[in-house]
Amino acid sequence: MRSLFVFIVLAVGSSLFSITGLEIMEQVDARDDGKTMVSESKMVLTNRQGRTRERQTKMIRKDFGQDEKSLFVFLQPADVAGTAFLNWSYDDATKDDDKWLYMPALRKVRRIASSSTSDYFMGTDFTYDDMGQREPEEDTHKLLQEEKFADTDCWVVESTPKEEGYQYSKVVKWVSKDYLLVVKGEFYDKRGRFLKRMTASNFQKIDGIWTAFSRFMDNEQEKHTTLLEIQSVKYNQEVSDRIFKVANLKRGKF
Amino acid sequence: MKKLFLLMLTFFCWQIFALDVAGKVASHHGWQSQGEQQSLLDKNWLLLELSQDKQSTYFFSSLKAMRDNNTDQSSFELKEAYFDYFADSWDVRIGRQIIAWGKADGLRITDIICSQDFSLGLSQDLQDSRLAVDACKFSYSPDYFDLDIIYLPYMTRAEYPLADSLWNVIGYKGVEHDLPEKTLESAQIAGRLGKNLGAVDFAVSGYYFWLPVQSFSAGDLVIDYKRTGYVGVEASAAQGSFVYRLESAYYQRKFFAGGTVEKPWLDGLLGIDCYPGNDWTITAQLTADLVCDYSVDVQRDESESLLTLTLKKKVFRQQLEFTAQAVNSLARQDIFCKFSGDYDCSQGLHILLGYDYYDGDQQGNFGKFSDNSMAWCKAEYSF
Repeated sequence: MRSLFVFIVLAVGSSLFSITGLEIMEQVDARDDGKTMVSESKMVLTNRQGRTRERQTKMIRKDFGQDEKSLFVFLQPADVAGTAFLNWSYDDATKDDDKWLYMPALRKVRRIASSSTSDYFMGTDFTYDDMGQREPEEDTHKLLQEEKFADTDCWVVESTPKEEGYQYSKVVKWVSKDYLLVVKGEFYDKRGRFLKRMTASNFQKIDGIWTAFSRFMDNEQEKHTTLLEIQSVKYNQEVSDRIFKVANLKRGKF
Repeated sequence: MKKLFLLMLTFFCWQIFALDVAGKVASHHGWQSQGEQQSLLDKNWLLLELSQDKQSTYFFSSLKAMRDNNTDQSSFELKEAYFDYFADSWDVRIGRQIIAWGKADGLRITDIICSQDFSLGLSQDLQDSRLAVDACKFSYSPDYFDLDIIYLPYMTRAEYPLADSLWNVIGYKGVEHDLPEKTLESAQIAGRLGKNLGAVDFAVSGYYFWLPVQSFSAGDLVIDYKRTGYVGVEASAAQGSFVYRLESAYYQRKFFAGGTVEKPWLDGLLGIDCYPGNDWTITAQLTADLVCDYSVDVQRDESESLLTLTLKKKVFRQQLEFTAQAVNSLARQDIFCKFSGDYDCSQGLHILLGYDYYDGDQQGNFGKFSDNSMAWCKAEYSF
């Protein structure tokens, strides 16, 4: 009798939604984000005393088949201006990214290892994984409900990591049905305590691609926030392959 | 007069060509941590960088004005000034420029195209220790390899401490450079062929150049320049959280015992960088050299080696960086350690505090500076 009850609950539960959590996150991962992208962004980091630090960056990205290469350059502040990261990211999950760093003060390019994806990216409240380096199959996804957030219909998906000891015990994501973008995220630390909240806003369709021009991460535990604002973005423009050559980094011209 | 002309020319170019301006103001001070605690370092400087970026051309110049209170000298110099032309698969850079090669971190195996500034012993910042060279660099980068050919019409001499400087631990009365004549035959030439194999970066290089050879004459340090060449290889590869580095050079000849003995020489380095996460970086390097066809008149051991270890940790969202570095000569058992904290006060202002420690055999490369262990501070503002 009890087994029959569980079966009915599961059957009803699964039929409530016509799509699964994994399917949603695969759609988010596979959504068209352009063959190339060139953007300039501003990051504003605010600590618990209210002091702010600003960074201005330029990013150039290009798809090479299933693989992706990107160049990330600091424009401001002046002490880090010209510092550049080159990243070759592979579709093959077993293959590590190849990364290089150019330091203008030393005029030298050096190969660096794939940083821990749990590290904060450039001192912001976004980790490397938060910046989009996590694959859907690395988590178990459960569709919790559907609700409206920021004037857009959303799926609310809970993602739980498959690996033990990962930086988050779970992340709850509000995925816009219209944009296929995560418009809100709530992150829980290893112990299950609430850690930080990300909200995206100012959605615009650029070159046919929905883009969140503003993303705000509020780290409640550390009382630290990061506002990441895109100042300009272009998709599917002509970008030379040479920009992503290691030798090009030495030129210091991007 | 030449410097005034340079200053006026800079101002003219800045105004006429609407150059982009960047730069740095810095104040750097250090004191002996023992003995009379004399000032070892008391410098204030301004670095002005002017550049203009067009579609296929780029101009860059940097000028440095410095006041050294310890030597009571002011100086104004053109550190770099070069012009780039970029084509699709090749580019050329002509002028005074800094050229850095190799996979070693802070050590110079193949990275010897730029002469070095020894005026502050090993306490000179790495980025300030390279002296720009007047050169023409041609780079060709088709899809499958990268080639650099560098022509240096003449030798740029290294900088040594002034005779009355506390960094003149040898105690010479003066420095004499016996530079080669500036003729077509005295030019230096270097080449490097690099190939990226995905997970591995690999390059071979060669350099035919003038090697500075030290000797003493009537209390003076005499720097004679002798012809030699090297062929080198370098490679780096990443796996997981680690990067492995290799660099080696075989010198046709190197000079020993004040330049009276010459022998072929082999130098090599193995390095490993570890990025365990949480903003830690750990780097270890082992270098070893070998005097080929060894004989006792070389007046040093047949082989000597160095071990370096560097730990870096960033805290407060990368606003504060701690560095601890140790360089240990295994043959002589002398050591150089550098400890520093670099606080990013935001928007280009950095405050640095540190301590440089030298100890060991007084004849060693590090032990000879043992009276110059130094506490130091530095403020830098980039604009």
